[in-house]
Amino acid sequence: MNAVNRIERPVNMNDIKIAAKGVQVYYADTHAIKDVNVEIEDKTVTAFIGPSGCGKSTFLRTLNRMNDTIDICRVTGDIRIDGEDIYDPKVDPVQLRAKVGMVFQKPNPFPKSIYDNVAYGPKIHGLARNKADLDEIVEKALRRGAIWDEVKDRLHAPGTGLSGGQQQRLCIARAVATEPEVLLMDEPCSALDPIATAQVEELIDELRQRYSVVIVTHSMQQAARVSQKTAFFHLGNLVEFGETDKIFTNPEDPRTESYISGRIG
Amino acid sequence: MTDLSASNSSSLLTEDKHTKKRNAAEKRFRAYGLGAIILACAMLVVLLVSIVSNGASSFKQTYISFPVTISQEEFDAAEGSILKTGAYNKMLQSALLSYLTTNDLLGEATEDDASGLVSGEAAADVRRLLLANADVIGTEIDFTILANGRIDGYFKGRVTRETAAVDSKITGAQLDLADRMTEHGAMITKFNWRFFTNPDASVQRPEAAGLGVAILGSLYMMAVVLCLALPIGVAASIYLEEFAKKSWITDVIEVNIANLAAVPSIVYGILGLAIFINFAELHQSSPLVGGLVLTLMTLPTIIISTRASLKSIPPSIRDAALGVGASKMQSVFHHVLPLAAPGILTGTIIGLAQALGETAPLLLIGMVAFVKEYPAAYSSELGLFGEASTALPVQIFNWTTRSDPAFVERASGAIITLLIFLLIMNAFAIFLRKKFERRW
Amino acid sequence: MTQHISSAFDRDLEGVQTLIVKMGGLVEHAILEAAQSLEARDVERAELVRKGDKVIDMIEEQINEEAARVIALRAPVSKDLRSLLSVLKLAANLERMGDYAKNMAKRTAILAEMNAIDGTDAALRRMSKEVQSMLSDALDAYVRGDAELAENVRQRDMDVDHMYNALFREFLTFMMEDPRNISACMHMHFIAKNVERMGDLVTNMCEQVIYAVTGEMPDEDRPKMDNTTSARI
Repeated sequence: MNAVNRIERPVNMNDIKIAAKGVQVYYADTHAIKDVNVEIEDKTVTAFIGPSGCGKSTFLRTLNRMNDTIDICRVTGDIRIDGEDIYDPKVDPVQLRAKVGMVFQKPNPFPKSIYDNVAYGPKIHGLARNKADLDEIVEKALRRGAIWDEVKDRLHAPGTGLSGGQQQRLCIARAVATEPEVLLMDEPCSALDPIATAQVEELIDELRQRYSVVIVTHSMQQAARVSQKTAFFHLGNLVEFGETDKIFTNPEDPRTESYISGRIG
Repeated sequence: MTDLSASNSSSLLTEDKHTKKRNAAEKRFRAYGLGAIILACAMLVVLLVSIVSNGASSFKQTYISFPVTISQEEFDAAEGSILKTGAYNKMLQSALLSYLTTNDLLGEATEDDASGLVSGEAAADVRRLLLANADVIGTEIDFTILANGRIDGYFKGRVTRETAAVDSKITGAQLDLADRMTEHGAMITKFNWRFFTNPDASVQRPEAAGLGVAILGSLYMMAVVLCLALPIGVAASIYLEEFAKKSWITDVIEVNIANLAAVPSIVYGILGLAIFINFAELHQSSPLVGGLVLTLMTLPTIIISTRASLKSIPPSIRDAALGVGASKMQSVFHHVLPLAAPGILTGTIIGLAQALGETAPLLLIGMVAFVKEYPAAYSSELGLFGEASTALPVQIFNWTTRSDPAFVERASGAIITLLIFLLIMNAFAIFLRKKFERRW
Repeated sequence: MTQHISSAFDRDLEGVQTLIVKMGGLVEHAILEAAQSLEARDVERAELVRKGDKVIDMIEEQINEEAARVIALRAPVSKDLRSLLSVLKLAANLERMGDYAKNMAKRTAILAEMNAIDGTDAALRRMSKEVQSMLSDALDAYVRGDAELAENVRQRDMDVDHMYNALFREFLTFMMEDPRNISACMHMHFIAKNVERMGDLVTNMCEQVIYAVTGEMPDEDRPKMDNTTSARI
């Protein structure tokens, strides 16, 4: 009899891209993130789930030092990307943010043309030597954002004239234009309708071939659909972290079980 | 199940007591509001009508037009004499007389009457004309010269036969003569461009008074204000809004800026006097000092409106810029400022419009002088904008203090001019705002 | 039907379908092999069939896991949900059929030591072939979403039942003729019964397919022509 193989699913033997150890975040006196340890793999989609106010967005923002803009926020602990501590005083947050791109909850294209939206990042980081280079970078980014076919004839139309889903894909294209290695997404689909959401999720699935993607979502179903690894946050603690299908079929921690099956309280 | 009482089962199609009372109260409130607006509009209309009715006539002026031949000898003789205007006056008067006699217009009027029709400024005007165009000497040309202020007033309704009877400067015969000349076509009333170009004139000659110097002075001052207040105000505002760390010092600064906007403008005049004229010893009554004082006055307005524009930019734009890897400064200058520009511009134009109309501080620094020469923008001894000048609102103030009723008319005309400038500036501000307004 | 926007969802569904088709193929093969090895009294071949049942059981487990995973992660609705629920039942039915085939193979070893009973081997072989063809068509109907085909297959169980009735009578006759035939006939009878049960299971599968495609279970009673419960000589 023939031996039958199991269904082939990609076996994850990826490198660790981001290693966080003992991370604490304080907002003035509030202890928002308590002692989080997590390792985020490269070329993988990692989802952060948890109830409102559990700290998942806060933790996401520590990964590209966006919390620096908030005066009362204090971050301690060790966060390393490719082995380098990103909170080292020698690190310039601006340079970090070229390497770690971010997409926000509400699509926020600049009120400029589509072309200028995508070209802005490469321009200020000096990634293009001339106009032809820039055109190429813009086209590549728009293709990676799965929006090239829809806008290639109107690159100079304003970015704000697109529909919600298209705007979010434009923001994703803008984020990948600077050739980042990590993409952080803070609830990228929460302002979109179901079809636009599905298109963005399909895009995220393509993006993971190139980038390490971390997505915060308050929809568990979205985390189930889109990610390979899931981290469950609760009241500032990282309760459980593991393979997505294990978390959704047989989680280890009872708190995870309650949250996932909707049995809270 | 409780019984439904009668009031509960009322239909939606009839109004119940509460709704009736509420609707009546709202109707009353709307009526009060409408009444208030009508009252305000009525007052505005009264104001405008009174100004326009007084001032509209200042845009017309009466001239005497007749052919004259000045020969080369007469010109040389006049130039050679010591009192040049006196010589030209004589030439003009004899020319006018001969013209009137030839055309049989003189009637009962005497020669003195005829000479008295001409304005005192006419001689200087003629001299300027001849000096500028030497080739007209010896040929017959049509002179157009200013008529006397009283004659001008006659055609505008200020002077009548009754007032002429008690007025020393005009007689009934002169008025008759004027009528005849008008019929003949020698005297015309036409649009008065020189109202805008002439410098101020003496109290005796309201017909020659104009806004030229005042307009120029105001223009120079606005230039100074624009070049100083805009950059300083915008830079200060950007620093306070985007870069300064929130501490008690910035709070104190903010409170003080808001207060400064409400300080009476005359205080700025005293400040200007003390600092710019006494301490820095800048030239008194120069547009430079006026501009500096007005800059101080306009700065709080610009800072406040700039901050409001900056605050109105949603933080998502800043986040997006930071997320792409822009530094704080890049995100402000590449994204926030261009978006806030329409608001900033609007605030600046409004600030400038306010500064244009300020009188009190300018009085204190001496811009109230009588200035007859056009101030040059730059002079070697006095520096940039250093020559003495006056300003539109100050000129209005000046003219209202003079006794001749012709100056009342001119003051109203100047007010109309000022209002038109302000209207244009505000309309421009609105246009800018509408054109560049963006919705997120 | 058009694709899902999420291509991973499509891949997951295809994966499960591939598994069930594979399992179905293995079971068909097992049925045919069992029948042929019985006819030829080839004990080694029968042994292979017996061993092959392990693989069938393993795939059933896999299908269960995989379907559970897809339901948990994709939260399917409507057709997708019915399709997945049906797959679970189809897998269970196939596993039972695989067990019957294994049973057939086990009895072949014993029957090999006894005399053949005329005509019955061929009849059994024909019955098995019919059941195998029904199974193949049922799986086809599932993959293509063809409810009509499923209904046709469902009706064909009547033939299998007829064949079983005939065989039952024959065995009774043989046993009455010569008591030495009783062991062999009993074994053969169990085999025939199993094949008839396999036909019923295929009918179950068809009903599942109709449910998956249309959303409603067919409510007419299954045509049952098996009247052996009231048979007597």
